[in-house]
Amino acid sequence: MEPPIVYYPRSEYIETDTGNKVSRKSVICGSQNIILGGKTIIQTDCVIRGDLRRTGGGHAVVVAIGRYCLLAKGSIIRPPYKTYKGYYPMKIGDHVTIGEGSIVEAATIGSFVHIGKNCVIGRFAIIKDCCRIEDNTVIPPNTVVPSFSIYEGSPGMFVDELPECVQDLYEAKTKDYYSKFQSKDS
Amino acid sequence: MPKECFAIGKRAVVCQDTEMKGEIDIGSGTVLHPQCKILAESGPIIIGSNNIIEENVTIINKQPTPLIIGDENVFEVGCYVEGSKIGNKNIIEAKARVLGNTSLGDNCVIGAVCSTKKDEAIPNNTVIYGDHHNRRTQTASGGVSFNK
Repeated sequence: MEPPIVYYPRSEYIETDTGNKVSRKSVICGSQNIILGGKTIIQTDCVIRGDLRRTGGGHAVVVAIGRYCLLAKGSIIRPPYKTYKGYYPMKIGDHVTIGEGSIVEAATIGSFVHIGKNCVIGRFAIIKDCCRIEDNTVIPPNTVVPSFSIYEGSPGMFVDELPECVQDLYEAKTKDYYSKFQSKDS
Repeated sequence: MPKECFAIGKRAVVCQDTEMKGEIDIGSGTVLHPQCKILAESGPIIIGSNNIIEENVTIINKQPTPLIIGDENVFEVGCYVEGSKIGNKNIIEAKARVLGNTSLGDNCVIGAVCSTKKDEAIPNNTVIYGDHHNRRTQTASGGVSFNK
């Protein structure tokens, strides 16, 4: 069951030298503070808040996203904040898929993670490598999602384990999606 | 067709890319993050001071009576607010929905993805949480107590 080739109008996306494909209709605030690893796709109506940072120099990178990531339509990435301390920098690993409409306020997301649609990842959550968050999950703030686990429900609870092959599985899946996400002159 | 009229208090921050329509009154110290929508379609919206309205929040007033929002509320990402009155110090978490004519008291917490029914009056200090939303408890008296 091969996923279909997804075409996008060439004028709608910006393609960078490193292969990142960023939709012009996404809202990227503070783009100088955002790092995209390469071959990452940011679809329409995404919101990435790179402008939420602590004052006082120091970290220049607010949001660091890895390679072959996919931020589907309408997802929102914003760094978490503590009262009286400000916003903390946020790091997303490689081969991460974030589903449509999801809100991600986590502190770190590991590599090879699949986040479903309409999820809410609370503040300062830590999602380790090789996890899967099912659709419509609400992960409470400060949760640590261990590796190789599947979380579901509201509040998100551990439901199942993932096999070790999930790393290769998600890697192949994200690379495959990237290669099938092609532009078309409309 | 309501006239467009914004009155924005001092030290309030209204980011670019917010969508504001109709008669809106924003109190001092309130922060509107980008991509939020304040639509005073049928009647005015009066927002108090020191609120935080995060991304993708939609605040709609579909009734001719003004929608009064109190002070120090937090509207987290993606929530949808349509009520008739909102008190002070509430937290409306991500993707929550306040529907219809409901009015919210003070110090309430509407959990993530939870929604209220239409036409309810939610008392102070209520917490709505859980999978099948509308599971409510009363918190112990919320707020900070000061040592005398």
